Amino acid sequence: MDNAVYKEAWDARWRLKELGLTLEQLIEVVRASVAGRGDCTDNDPPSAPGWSSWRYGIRRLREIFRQEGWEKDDTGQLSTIANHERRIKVAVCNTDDGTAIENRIPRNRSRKGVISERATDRNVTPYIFPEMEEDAARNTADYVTWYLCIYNEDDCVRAELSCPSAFEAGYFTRYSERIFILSEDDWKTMDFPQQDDNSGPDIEVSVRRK
Amino acid sequence: MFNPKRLTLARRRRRLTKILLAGAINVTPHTILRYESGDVLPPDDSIAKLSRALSFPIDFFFGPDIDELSDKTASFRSLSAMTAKERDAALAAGSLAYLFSDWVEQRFYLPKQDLINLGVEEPEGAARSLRQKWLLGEQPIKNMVHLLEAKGVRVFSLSENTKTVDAFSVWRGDRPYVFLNTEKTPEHSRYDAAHELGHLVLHKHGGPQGRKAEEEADRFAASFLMPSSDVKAILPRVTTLNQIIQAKKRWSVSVAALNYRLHKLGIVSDWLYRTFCIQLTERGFREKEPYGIKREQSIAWRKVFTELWKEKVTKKDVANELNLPFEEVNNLLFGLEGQQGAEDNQSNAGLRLI
Repeated sequence: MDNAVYKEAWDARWRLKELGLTLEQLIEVVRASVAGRGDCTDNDPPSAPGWSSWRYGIRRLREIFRQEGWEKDDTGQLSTIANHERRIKVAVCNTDDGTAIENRIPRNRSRKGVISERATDRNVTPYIFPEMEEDAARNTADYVTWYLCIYNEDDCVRAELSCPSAFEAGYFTRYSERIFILSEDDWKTMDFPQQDDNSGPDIEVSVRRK
Repeated sequence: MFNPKRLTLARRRRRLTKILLAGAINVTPHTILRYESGDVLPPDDSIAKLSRALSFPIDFFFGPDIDELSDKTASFRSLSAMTAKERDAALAAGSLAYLFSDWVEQRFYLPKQDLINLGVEEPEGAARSLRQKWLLGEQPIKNMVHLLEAKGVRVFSLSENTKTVDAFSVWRGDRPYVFLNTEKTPEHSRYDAAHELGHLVLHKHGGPQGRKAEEEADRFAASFLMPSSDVKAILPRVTTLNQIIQAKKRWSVSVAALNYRLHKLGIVSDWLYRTFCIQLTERGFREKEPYGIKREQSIAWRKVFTELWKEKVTKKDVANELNLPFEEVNNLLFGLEGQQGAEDNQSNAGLRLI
């Protein structure tokens, strides 16, 4: 069961601010992820769209947030950005059509391994001996890991930033918090902005008989 | 008095060599050479034949000298594809436009030219400066032809039956002229108008020539029609060609032009740009523009003929007074009809005559 769902934009913004993130920044990451998927053609292997979507999402996430003092972190081959002050990490994950739907939950598209399972465990039960990790100065063992869950199928795109709290058989099964980033309607408005076909101010041309 | 310069002009307008014209009226090429040099005055029957062969009224050949446009003063966009005959024919049309323009200016007050010399600036900076001067901000340009006319540029159409002549512009003293080829798509023609504006403000007093000048005018046109801030605000990230197709309506440009602009602005990657170019071709958008715009037409000439129509003066009357073939005048004026202009004016309160 979800503990908290921030589905309204004002609510989401408030919670994101606490995490040191903004809606616009995360939407920009979603856009990059969709661009990555769009780079793939029928000639690419079946796994390419998902991989490309994830890769471009991560890259953009880092491009945006490293400028703001976040650091990239690949501990245990889980690619994230880390905020050492707030002790949080953010990863990108391709998820199914439960994404950004209130009475459902996002399910990761591909099975996750032990690193994600461990990250989920630590979201619930922080690691109590962080100094035991190899790199004590930069160990992130007690960080909370959030996932930017992106659903992208055909022309439909939705996204949420969520904190998984349960993990079973390679899939996230519960979240302690869910912050809705992008609804289907939001995306459609952004993707195809309604433009005035005849934009710009009127132009007056003065012609007068002598 | 027969004016040999007018014979040369009419022959060039018809894209005829001296040899071809000589054949058409059964004289030797040398005879035509002597007629055009003024060494010999053609007899009346030869003038009648010349008139028929060239489809110009006899009286045309007896008028005063006409200002000639030369390929040195006119900035032609298309350089390599255009033949000398095509270039000369287009320039001759320009000379005929001068005749019409002078006739109108004797009878009407038209906007004074409001261009500035921006030859020292980079094309992108020049586009920004001119937008600032004209208080356009970052807004899209609703109609390039109307904008040029409002700023004192005389805009004429060329109906050259060839796509190799893009457009050209020229300063005639202090008066800027732009000629647009209506054989091009409306989007292409609009882009040409911005390109020619680039030449007028960047290259009035010389500066680069040839390819370099064309490249500068292109950069100016892209910046002027699609200001970077506006493009970045509307399309911060592009993922699909459909996005470009939808967004291009804002700036009334071709998909190809917007794709190119997005690439230059770094919004579309090299890879994506190439992909979109391929998709453009595959989807047939190079032949048929999606969401095509209406061809931009002159509002100044329309207003002139609307006024003249009230005095029962038609375009044909003007052509007759200037001793020009009606088709020549019609082709220069975007095919506007005086009566249609009058009707449009009645139904459109926004187009006030000041």
